[in-house]
Amino acid sequence: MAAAPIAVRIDGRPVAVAPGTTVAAALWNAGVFRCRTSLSGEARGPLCGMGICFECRVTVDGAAHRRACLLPCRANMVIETGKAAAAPDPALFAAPEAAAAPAAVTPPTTAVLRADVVVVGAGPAGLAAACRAAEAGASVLVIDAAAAPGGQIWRRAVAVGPGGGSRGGSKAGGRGGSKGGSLGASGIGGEIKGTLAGGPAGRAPANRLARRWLERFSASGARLLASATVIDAVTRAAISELPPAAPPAGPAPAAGPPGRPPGVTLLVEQAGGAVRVEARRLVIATGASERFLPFPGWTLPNVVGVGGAQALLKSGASLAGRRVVIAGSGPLLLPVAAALAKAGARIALVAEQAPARAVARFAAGLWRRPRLLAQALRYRAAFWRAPYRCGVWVSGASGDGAIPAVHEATLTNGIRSWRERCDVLACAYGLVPNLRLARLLGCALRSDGGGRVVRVDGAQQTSVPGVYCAGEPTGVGGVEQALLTGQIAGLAAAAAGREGRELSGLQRRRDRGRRHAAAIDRAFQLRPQVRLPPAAETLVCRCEDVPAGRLDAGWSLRQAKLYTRTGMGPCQGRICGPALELLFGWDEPDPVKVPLEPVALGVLAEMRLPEPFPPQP
Amino acid sequence: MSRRPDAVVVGAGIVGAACALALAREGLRVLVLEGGFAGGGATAAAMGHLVVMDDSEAQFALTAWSLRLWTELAGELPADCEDDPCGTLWLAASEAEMERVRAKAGYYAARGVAAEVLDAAQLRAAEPRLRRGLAGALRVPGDRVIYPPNAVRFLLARAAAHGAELWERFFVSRVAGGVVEGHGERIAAPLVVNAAGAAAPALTPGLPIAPRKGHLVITDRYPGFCRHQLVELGYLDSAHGTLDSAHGPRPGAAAPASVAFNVQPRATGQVLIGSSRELVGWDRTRNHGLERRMIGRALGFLPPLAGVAALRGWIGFRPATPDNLPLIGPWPETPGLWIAGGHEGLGITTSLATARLLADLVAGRRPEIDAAPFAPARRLPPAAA
Repeated sequence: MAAAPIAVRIDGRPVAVAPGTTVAAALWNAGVFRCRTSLSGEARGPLCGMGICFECRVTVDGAAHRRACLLPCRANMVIETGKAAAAPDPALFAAPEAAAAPAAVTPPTTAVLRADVVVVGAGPAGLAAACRAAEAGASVLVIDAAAAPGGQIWRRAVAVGPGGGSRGGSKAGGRGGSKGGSLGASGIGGEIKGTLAGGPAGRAPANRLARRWLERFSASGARLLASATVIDAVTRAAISELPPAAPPAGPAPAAGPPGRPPGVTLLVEQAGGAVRVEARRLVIATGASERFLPFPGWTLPNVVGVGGAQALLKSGASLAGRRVVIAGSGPLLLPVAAALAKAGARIALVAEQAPARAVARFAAGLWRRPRLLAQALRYRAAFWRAPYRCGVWVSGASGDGAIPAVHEATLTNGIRSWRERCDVLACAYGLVPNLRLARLLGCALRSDGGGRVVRVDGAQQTSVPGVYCAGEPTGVGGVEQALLTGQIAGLAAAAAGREGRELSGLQRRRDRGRRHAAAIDRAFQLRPQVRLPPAAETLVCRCEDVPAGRLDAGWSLRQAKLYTRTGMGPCQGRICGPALELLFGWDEPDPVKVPLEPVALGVLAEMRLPEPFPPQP
Repeated sequence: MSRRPDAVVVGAGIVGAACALALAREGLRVLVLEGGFAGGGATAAAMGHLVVMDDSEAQFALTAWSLRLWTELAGELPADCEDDPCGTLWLAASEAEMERVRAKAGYYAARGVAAEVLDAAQLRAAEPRLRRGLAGALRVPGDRVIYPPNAVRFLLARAAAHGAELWERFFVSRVAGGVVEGHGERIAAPLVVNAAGAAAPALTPGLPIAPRKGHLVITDRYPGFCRHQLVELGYLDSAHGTLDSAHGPRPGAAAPASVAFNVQPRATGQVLIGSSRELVGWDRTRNHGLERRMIGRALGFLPPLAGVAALRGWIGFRPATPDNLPLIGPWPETPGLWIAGGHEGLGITTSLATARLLADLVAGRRPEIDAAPFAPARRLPPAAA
């Protein structure tokens, strides 16, 4: 449908954008590659495209630190770029009114939602869990940060109509535009602001698998709390152990009121308000983000992730005619190259760091999975003009000085290096599961081919009773595996141990899938050359602009944080953490800190846990 | 070194680091033993507010001396210590509190510490984001803010230049007269300083020190949001009101928890929000209700904080004593063992004066201030079993 364009202002200039376009894509299309200015004065633009890296922060309608990639354009939006989040500027101290202005906030209200099964994440794993649990008769609530279900992989697999985006409205009370579904009465108490959307009825999905699951989700009776961010989570058992904020009046009650059901309380931000979600059982389906490894020039605008490039494309950025180098590692390179080529990008090169031998052996093994093989060939055909080189990786990127963006990538095969002209360099090294929520709840982890994942039993239950986990956080395995583990988790969470034969069939398929995932891990293992700590002057932490030379390999991650501010910026180590784990062997020993995502203090103040003590007579 | 140092300092927090430097400057061969890493304990959790406190005459003397030492050092601190001479504003909410402000100003002035009374209009001009209706404030311009973990590294680097050595990840299991044990090693030293913070009583049983938990929350960068450390005048009531000196610290006991408005502009442009106090032993569980109360209190004083993004919250444990004064000096029960601990929320401020006082006593010099109120052997209410 050709909806009328929306008028926004970018740095004072009027610009017309298509409805559904994110601010990041609008900036990209307008040729504005500098979203923000880093602490050391560098131009920065989007990297991850999915709200993890905080590089695309801009000032929107006067509110600082808004992530452009998460924010759909709205009519008359005023977007300002290039502002420095710098160390204190003496001028600001002379004129305090000129200081970075926080967003205006009206007093929020706290709503309470309850469900038998709460699913965090509306990607394939979360949708599968929600469908199975709801079909088994449980009341199900799915929480997702996006305005529509589908997660990153199925983002915009369904066309978003006008008003379809309500993600993170900048003003409290700014109602989400989605009209889908309404608040079901059963099992939910209280009111919430913003979007509580049902499935995407009446929209036309592009991807058949996505359509099938989105339609099933729509019909399942599960409800979606969209544009909502989980800020904090506590198990019910932990709540009853909490010390009181104020001493209880009268005699101290006996520990742990009897008969309290097991479960989890989630504190959620939505549209500038606080929502408390009470889950009898929780399914964590928080997906994964890309692994980035630092190289000279990786902070230049238009150096993006591989999935990051695809996310930008899906959010309305035009790549037609742009010369793109895709590099890094893993099966994701192929579909992204195909998608970019279809969108009119000129693919200069696809560089896979894994040796040709390993990739060939993996491809040969695909005869057992003909569907995957056919899919891989289809992807390859879509960018047939461009070379796909194995054993090649990026060693640097540079701009040409005229515009603040990448102009050339330096590639190497370990013997010789060469330069490749490009407007966009998409580079990432596989996926890192998002374990933040699981770790906050104290779920035990296990190591899995170098990284760590959530430890689950046969029914996808974690070490915390009543908390299940599915998809990438239990081991990176792709869509099929996410759908299988999600279904198992949903069935188990709904039936609590009475799942029967259906479950065992899913479990057999899941275990087969695990072997395939292990084969991928083996084939695309990162070579030592890309795992070397970078040159001293290369920035490692992009939020705080910490160069590698300030870090000491003998430290722990916590020492690096405390001594150099590495990982202390708004992304809270989500970009540099996985890199440092690989480069220095540092992992995160501390529990995850709250809030899980940056949240306005006015909303945080309203986020209350249920009172652990019974009311006094 | 040498398994034969002249002095062993147990603990490389800010107090241990300062003591190591002061003793090394005396010409002693100093070995610092730290179970974790330098500045990683209460020091890492601390706000880093360098503040003159008038809780008691002795505390005023110690904090004022230490502020002078920090101010002398300011020019030498590297940039990553984020030294910021922002001063403190003690906020008066009412006319009755303004009376206290004026009395406080007189008290400071009589003791040679600059302080000025701001009326409501002057306060508005100084900090326009504070809520309307405050009566005024006491401005103490000499107070400062630093970033404690890097101050520790600076002090230890100085100490190293005087020959001191730091062993990290060396967990001390026992401290006795003239000897320290850990990791199967016995290290003999004529002088042992227990500067292990809230963990000190584990090594020296009977020390009247208990962990007092606190929550802090830090925001994203909003440079210029506020320009002084902002503290409500009622802070002292809250800070020390809960540690009932008639009963002593009761680790693990359900003491009333308290919050006070205490907000700091970081050199990074971030806003650091405190504070809370509770005596719950070493319980690391986040007290959600208390943290929310703390944030609510901050919003009450600084309403525009409501739109400021919180990035991260954490907790830490202050080493609290029954009379709110640190223990500095020899431990009479064990010859050769010295104590530098129990600084509660003022360890960053008083570290330098603590170290000077300790070094003076070790060297047999008359210290600049009276050491008696800090004597570890002073009459204290007994710690409950």
